[in-house]
Amino acid sequence: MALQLCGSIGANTGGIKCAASPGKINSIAIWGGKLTVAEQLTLATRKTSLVADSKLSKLLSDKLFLLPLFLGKESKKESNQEQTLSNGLKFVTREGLPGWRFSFKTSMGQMKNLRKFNNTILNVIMQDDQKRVWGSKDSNDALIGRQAQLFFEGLDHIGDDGVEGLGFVNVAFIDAIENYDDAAFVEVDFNFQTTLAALLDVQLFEKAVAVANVLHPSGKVDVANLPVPMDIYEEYKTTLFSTAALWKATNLQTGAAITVTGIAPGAGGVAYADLTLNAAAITALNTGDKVLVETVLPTALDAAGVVGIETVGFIYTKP
Amino acid sequence: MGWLKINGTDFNLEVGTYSLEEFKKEFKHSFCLGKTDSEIEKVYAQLRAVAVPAPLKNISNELHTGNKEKAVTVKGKGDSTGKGSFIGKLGGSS
Repeated sequence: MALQLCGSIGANTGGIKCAASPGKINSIAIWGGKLTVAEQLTLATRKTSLVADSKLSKLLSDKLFLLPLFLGKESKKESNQEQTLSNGLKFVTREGLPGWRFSFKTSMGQMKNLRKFNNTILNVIMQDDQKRVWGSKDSNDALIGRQAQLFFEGLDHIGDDGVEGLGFVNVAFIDAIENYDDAAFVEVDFNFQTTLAALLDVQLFEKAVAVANVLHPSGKVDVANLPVPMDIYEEYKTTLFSTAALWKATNLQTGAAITVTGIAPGAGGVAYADLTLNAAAITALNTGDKVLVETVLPTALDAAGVVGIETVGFIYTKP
Repeated sequence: MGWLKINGTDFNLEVGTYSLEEFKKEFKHSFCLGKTDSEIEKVYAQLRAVAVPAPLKNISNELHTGNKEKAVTVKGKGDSTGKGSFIGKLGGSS
């Protein structure tokens, strides 16, 4: 019997039949949040937490950004670093880091937004083809994302053998411990792509010149078609553009709120709303004074039936 | 303060506390466009009814309950539909 202290550094090595191993990655989400032990308890609590984070404003740390469904998956795992002895024997001296190149269907407008994440270190979680959600774990056994650097390749014109709208993203993980030693997963009963929200950025704008204290807002989404952005007015006419509680106005000179006194779809079939701000407050402004007009954050929009968007406000300037 | 949607326009109930003239001035370029005075006054009355509830003493008088000689404590809470909930008890020496 050889003397050993292996138990002090290792663990028992028994295997368990049918225990999970990582499957093929279908989806990735950028996520700064965590799934605490309490939130992991049931399928329902996991779903609720992840869905809620996907509906947060992009300005919040816990926001979950869902990336498009991956079609092709190519491993770009880094080779292990090895030391070769004089007799040819090789030892692994540093483990290669995992990496991937995924393909997905996209558009120019979406790719422009995705590329804004390029070259920064982000936390990501993955859903595999068994609906398991893979990440890492923190010291409190919460599920967290793994650190990775993403690079979305620019969407280009295609050759005769090309597929239109096929985008690629390179994902390079930077920590072997997160990926191998602290790897963890939770099972969920939903598909990321059909259940989590991937919001659209909507730029609010004045579609027609304001009359006195009545502004005429609509909203548009950049689809890379310069003269024809996607106007969302008709889609949200009876929700966002009919609910005054979803709107806010702020006097940028003083920081004071200006009361929104009413909103309604514009009369006569026009494609903008009539947003009425407090007349006295608007009258009191000097020429050139600015008012920020915006909506509430996407979680509140979603609760009011305005789903799938986050808005960027516009500035009204007193003529 | 709350909101009330009437005929497609979502009003801030605060405007129900305005005078009729102030209300007309506020919505001169939106809701009031193309509407007659009677149409405007009808909507204004609806907003005012929700925004400015009837005096509390009337509640006690109408119900014929409680001791009218004592103060009545009432807690009210409105909602965006214009309906109010009533919490509390009306005076009385019982």
